Amino acid sequence: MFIKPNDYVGVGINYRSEIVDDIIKNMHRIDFIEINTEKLFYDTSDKLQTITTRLPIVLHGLTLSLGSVAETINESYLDNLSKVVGKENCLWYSDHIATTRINNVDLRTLMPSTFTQEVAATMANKVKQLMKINTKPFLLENITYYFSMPDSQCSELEFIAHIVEMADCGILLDINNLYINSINHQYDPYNFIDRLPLDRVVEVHLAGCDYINNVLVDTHASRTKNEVLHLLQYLRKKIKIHGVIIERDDRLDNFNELMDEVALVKEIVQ
Amino acid sequence: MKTCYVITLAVLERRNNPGGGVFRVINKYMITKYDTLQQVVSCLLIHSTWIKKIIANFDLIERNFNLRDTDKIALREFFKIDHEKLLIHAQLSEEKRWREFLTTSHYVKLFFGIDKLKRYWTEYLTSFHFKEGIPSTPFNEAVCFLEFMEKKSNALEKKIIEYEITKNRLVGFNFYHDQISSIKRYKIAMEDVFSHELFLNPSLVIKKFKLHTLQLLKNIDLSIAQSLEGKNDNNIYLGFYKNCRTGSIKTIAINKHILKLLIYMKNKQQLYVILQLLEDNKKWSFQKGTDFINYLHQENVIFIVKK
Repeated sequence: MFIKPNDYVGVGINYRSEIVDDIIKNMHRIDFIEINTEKLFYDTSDKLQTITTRLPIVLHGLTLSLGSVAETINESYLDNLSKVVGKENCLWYSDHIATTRINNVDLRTLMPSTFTQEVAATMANKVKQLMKINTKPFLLENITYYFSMPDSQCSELEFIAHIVEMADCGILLDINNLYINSINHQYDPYNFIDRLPLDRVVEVHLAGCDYINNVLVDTHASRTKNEVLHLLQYLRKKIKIHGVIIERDDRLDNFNELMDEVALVKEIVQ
Repeated sequence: MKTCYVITLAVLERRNNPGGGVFRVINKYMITKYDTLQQVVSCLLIHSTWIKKIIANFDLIERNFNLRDTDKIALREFFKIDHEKLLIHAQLSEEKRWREFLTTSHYVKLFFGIDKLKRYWTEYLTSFHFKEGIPSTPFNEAVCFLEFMEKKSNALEKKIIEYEITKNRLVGFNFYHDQISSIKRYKIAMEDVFSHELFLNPSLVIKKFKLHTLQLLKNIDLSIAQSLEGKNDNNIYLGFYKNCRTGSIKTIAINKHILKLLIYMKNKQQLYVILQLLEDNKKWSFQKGTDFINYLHQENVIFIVKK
């Protein structure tokens, strides 16, 4: 049975080397930090070490490719993962409900999964494999998808519910992704939240999105939209959220704006 | 969908042998390997050029992939309804790769200019075959794209490209945490001489450049017009390496003193041996020798490690 972490961790941001000095200067304003799992495998820089030893961390992977039906998880990846997840102040780790690698080719994008029972079972088995090796909680994140894979047989919501139930893991709910999908695929995001197994939601992601050629795109380059913050408020009324990460990967020049956003979100979540 | 192997034909052959006719299965199984929808869509997702080609002519799918009939129908239906969404995703992904490239190659960006680079980039993207993978990281991609550009460039452009390729190749260099944790953090003193050894930074690569190429790089940084008047044809050896403490890629001019030290070291050497060699061959005092080693250690070109 999935057991949620006990404590409220707070609100943090994702690590980017471009803003490492700002992060170190502002550690008192950041409750925890999300680090790309694969980066931590090899990055030996002093500044990253400083952050990972002084702040609680959560690890967020990009390359597990849980949705690749024909491929298993690489053994050396599992070894590296165990080392970094084993760090004392690592709270939990996560990856995406997506495919990022097919036939040994990295796609460098999150390809949506085929929403079928078979793929859900494959993903769940891979998650179970991870959870056997690492005792920290594992969370799965919903992605932004611009198209649905051919041959899908159920909705994204049913698909997520099915995997987390089978794998018995947690959910990292990216509310920005949810909002984008609800606009691009025209559904009600509040209804999505109502029907999600909320007892499994541990962490929330927020980020900015922008219109590019009439499509709402997950850019991580601007402030979180008010519509997304409203969804966060709605979720907060329903459940206790353990941690919120504001993701920003582009236009990082105004760090204070990011810190203002952290403060604003803290008010909503606490 | 799993890749499927289907035995399509098992041939039974009547053998004529003196003892009468028997049937036996001969070893002529014909095995068909089907591609999956996931494989096909993943190939398309990384090549927007090919999505456009398929939109114009769906038969290209059949020429490049072996799909089961049911999958072919599903894919044709998907293309009728969702081809634009697939194209948008692929283009967004390529745009992201382009932006990532721009962050990797400072001098090439400034020297060639965005417009010219973007033209090369478009050519580069269309040079991929349908089933060809893309480089796995932005830095690998930078190397690939720069090599593509190199073929179309003049001698001076080639040198600037070579500089960027060398830097980008090093980004992917990984130090082992165990290796790094044993590196001394402070300067060496007299008492360290017999208890420490020197390691060459394992990422160090030395390349020969014309002095005027380096002057040009400096000019690019200072936004000075790129004139080659009075160019200096002398060669200079430049060391490229990854700083294990910052993760950044650094360069250092390899002068005769550094070169000599690197020869003495041969990757790894006892500290006292090096100091002795510097004293014997260069007549350097202990102080001068340790200052020199401390400087290179500080710069992360060599590592001082406790034995």
